[in-house]
Amino acid sequence: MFKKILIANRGEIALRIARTCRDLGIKTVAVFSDLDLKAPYVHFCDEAYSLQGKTSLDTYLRSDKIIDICKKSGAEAVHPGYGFLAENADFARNIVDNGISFVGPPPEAIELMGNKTAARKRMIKAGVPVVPGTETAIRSKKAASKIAESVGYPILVKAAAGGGGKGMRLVDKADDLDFSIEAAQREAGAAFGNSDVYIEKFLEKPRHIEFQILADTKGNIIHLGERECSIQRRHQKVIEESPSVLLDRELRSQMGEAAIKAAEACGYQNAGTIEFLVDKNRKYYFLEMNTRLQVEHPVTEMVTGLDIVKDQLLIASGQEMTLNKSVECFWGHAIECRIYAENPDNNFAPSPGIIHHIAPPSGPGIREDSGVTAGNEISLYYDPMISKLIAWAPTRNEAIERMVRALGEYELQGIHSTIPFLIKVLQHKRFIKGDFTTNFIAEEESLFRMNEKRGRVAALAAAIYFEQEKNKKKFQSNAENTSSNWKLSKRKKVLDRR
Amino acid sequence: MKIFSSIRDKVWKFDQIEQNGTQFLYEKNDQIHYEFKSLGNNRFVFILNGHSHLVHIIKENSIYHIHLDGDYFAVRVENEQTRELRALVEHATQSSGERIVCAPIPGLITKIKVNEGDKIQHSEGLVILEAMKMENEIKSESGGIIKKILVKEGMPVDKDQELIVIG
Repeated sequence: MFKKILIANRGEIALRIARTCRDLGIKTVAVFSDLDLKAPYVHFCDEAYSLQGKTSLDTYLRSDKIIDICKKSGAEAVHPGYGFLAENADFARNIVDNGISFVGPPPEAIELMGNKTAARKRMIKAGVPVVPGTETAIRSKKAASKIAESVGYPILVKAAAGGGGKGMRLVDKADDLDFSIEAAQREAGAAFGNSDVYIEKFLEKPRHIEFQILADTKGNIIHLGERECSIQRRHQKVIEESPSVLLDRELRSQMGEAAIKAAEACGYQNAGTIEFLVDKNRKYYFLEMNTRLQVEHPVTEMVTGLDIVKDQLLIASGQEMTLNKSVECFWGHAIECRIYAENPDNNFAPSPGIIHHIAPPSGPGIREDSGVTAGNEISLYYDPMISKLIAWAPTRNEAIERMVRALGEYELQGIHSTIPFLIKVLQHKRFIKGDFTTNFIAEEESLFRMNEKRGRVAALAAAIYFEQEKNKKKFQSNAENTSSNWKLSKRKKVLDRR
Repeated sequence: MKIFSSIRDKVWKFDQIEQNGTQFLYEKNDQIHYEFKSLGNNRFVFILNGHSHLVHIIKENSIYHIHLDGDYFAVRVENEQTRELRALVEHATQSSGERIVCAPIPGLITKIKVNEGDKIQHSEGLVILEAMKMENEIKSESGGIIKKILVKEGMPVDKDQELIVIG
């Protein structure tokens, strides 16, 4: 096993990785931008080095700086986390070329799966079903509109190098195509350093179900079951769970086999995720493969008892995985909520600011993977996700109850968060029934309605506070008058003496 | 004294009555029984008719940001005078004919889609504001003529900063 690794990431995931390293007795090296000096992961790690700069482009996306720090610190391996350089094949190659281990797949697998169009071709060849769309990146507006017409609107414009919903636009009609392509290209360029986009038919109201796989260096590939991530907003996952209410034993084993086939087809090693869309006829299509640790990996950990980061490190150091066969039977049910610094009352506007007070929940079945603490500033420079709350229970209904309880306990001051919105989703009868698709948030206006019973309590609390403040002021101004009366009498005495 | 608490369009009216030097709160004709104690750090214990809550209250001008049982409310609290005054001010700004488009969120202006003098329609795109790696299009809430553009492409802006004047 490695003695020391560098974590080329920030926030909750850097801390998450560092915790497993500490469990395994591996020393950790943190890297940080000017704005992250005070982040918990920086002081948790054994060593920390500055990346000198503020923007992602100047810091977490600079492979040269990261490799220099590897050499300086003597780190034997790099864990890239998710986002930033995690799915950058050049970075992975650079790391390996410098004699450092990369905790992730071989660069060729990242390259293939990172190029969404090449991946689609390979999957067709391997017999894994894919969504209809373009085979290459868009080169001209004319070509784009021709392809869009042929697969039929609505379509999705997606970043060829992308993932995680960045650089993705839904287009309903031909009029919006040009603008959407431009916007997606700009976003893709900023997020991934590659502005190529392609077109895919938009499957209406699908469910998003993905399979976690693990592949060792000796050709063994297993899957750890599925995660359902259908609760999304603007293609960003909001709530994830495992297992999915949609899958039965048969569909699970079919999709699991397809996931293993997909990983085999690209010569995969380490942890990866095969994302599928499932339509209303329970037909599944390969969407993409994420060649990294996923944000939502904790739900799989909770129902399998595994530590996926530990398995990543075992695989990267050439050792055997914890398990040698796929998991088809789960221990209870787990749900994850992503907590974003956004204001759901104002169209999810980003809510930057300083966290004055934070008290996360605890209690039975609750795990929090957080990246912030009191005194930290949420800046506009990075992703607005501040924490992930995970609830485990023997059954789905109990897991929902626990999550609602825990979210209600969560204290956070200084910034807005999506906690109130998450509670509304979890308490919605369609969510409880498991009757939802990726369209759920967009079509349920009730999620934005005020809870009037709680609203009245808030209205009263504000009124009482208002009244108390007023009384305090009255008292203060009385006190001031008294003291100035003293001054007046003193002044009078002085004058009298003259 | 009357106290008006409003959240979005919903208004609650309370009466504050002083009896023998003690303040009592009424809603319609019912006295409200409560305990309300500060824990410091903007945190309060609030027990209302036997139901207990932990409440966070942060005041920003006449808006009280309230976090309660995992929910959040922006409550405007006013007495009769401040309520009347605000109605007058709002009426005056509405009739002047000029409207100022402000940044709803802090971010970076990546594109300005209109020029001074342009005639625009309702919900036409004005500027692209990038925040946390997402592009947000700011649209006009009314038709009119672009009188003045107060920002430039590449400029960072704060929340509520004035961007464009529409006449």
